[in-house]
Amino acid sequence: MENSFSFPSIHNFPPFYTLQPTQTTWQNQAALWSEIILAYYRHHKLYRLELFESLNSELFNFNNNQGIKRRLRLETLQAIIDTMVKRGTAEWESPPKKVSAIIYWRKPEEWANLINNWILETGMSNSIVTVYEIAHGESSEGFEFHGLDQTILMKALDILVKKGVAQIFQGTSTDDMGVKFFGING
Amino acid sequence: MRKFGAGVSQIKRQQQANNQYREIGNTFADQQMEQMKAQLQIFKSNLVEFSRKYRKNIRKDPVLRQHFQTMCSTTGVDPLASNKGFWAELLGVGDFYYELGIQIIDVCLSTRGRNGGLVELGELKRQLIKMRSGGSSVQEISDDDIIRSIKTLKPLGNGFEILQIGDRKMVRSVPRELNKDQTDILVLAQERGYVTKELLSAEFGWGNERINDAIDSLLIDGLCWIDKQVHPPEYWVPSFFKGVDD
Repeated sequence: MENSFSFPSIHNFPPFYTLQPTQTTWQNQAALWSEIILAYYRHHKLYRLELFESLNSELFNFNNNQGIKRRLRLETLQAIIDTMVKRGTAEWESPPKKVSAIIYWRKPEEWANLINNWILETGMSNSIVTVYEIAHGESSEGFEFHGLDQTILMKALDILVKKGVAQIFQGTSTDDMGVKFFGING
Repeated sequence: MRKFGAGVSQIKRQQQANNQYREIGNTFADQQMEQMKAQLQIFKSNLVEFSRKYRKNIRKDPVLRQHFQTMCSTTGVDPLASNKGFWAELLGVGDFYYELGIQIIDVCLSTRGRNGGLVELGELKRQLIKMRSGGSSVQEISDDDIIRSIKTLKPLGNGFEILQIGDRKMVRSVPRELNKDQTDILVLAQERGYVTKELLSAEFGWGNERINDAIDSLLIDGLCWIDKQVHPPEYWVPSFFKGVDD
């Protein structure tokens, strides 16, 4: 398959799909799972994890030609994402429900810096760009935040506003909200 | 009275003789020392020449390195014990093992969480080769090199040790004793990568309590992982799972 993600070998380790009863082993298991999730999401530029749906994806399944089939259980995945939330690499979308999570393979602060640098480098300081342009415009093509999830983008912009680096002008929808960058190094 | 006078001169003569003996002795020792120094000088210069000539090969070729080690140990010299000074400067051999030692510690510590601090020697070697392949000159390493390096780690007192479990050599980085039952289970697990309680009962004829105790202790030490998605549950030994530490 084109652009396929190559999983580390532990993804084929059958007990990797069972929540380990020993605390230290489990901590390590959860950390390994979160590394895989983050790498997978970064690779495919994904931002949202719908738990029920994704349990069917290759990410949380393992089949080999000796007939071994393993699938992560919902409770295990929830426990893994809980540990990611603690580390700031994920966020439950509507807690206390644990059905959907935002995955931060870059933290909002990092996205904020990337966007501000892009403004500085392309000389767009003090002009107004729309939220849509930042994530989907031609000028951001080829930049890592091109295609960025809107929830994450808004978090990043909020950080820039709080820092006094940007100002937001309300539009009729989120897409045509305007953002003015002051050209200050955040 | 005469006797007394003669006594004094005799003592004097004696002293004189002693001094002469000492002098001769000293010259003799000096000569020997000179000879030794000369020999050592020759030995050193030969060694310098040898190491200049073959340094690259010693660092590159695990077989030559092993021969070199054996030669050194028969002449009573341990280049590993001197990573500073003459030997290391000339040969860089001490450095080689210390560097490898650091890398071994690195691999063992970074994989401890998933394998409980027990790494199979072949797996460790694979990891080390992968780690070292980033450098410009790739040096081959042998099992012998790894074992030697681990021995140089001994003075650190951090419990690095090589265990023979069944037909495999395992490197243990956690100071912990394996009891007989645990070792037996690890040996049995080499066949399939895992054991089940049923297998243990059939193979060793142990009672439930004994089996549970042994399995629980392996789980607690992180040497085993449980797979509950099969029946009966399987107890996998990550150290025997190829590539688990990637």
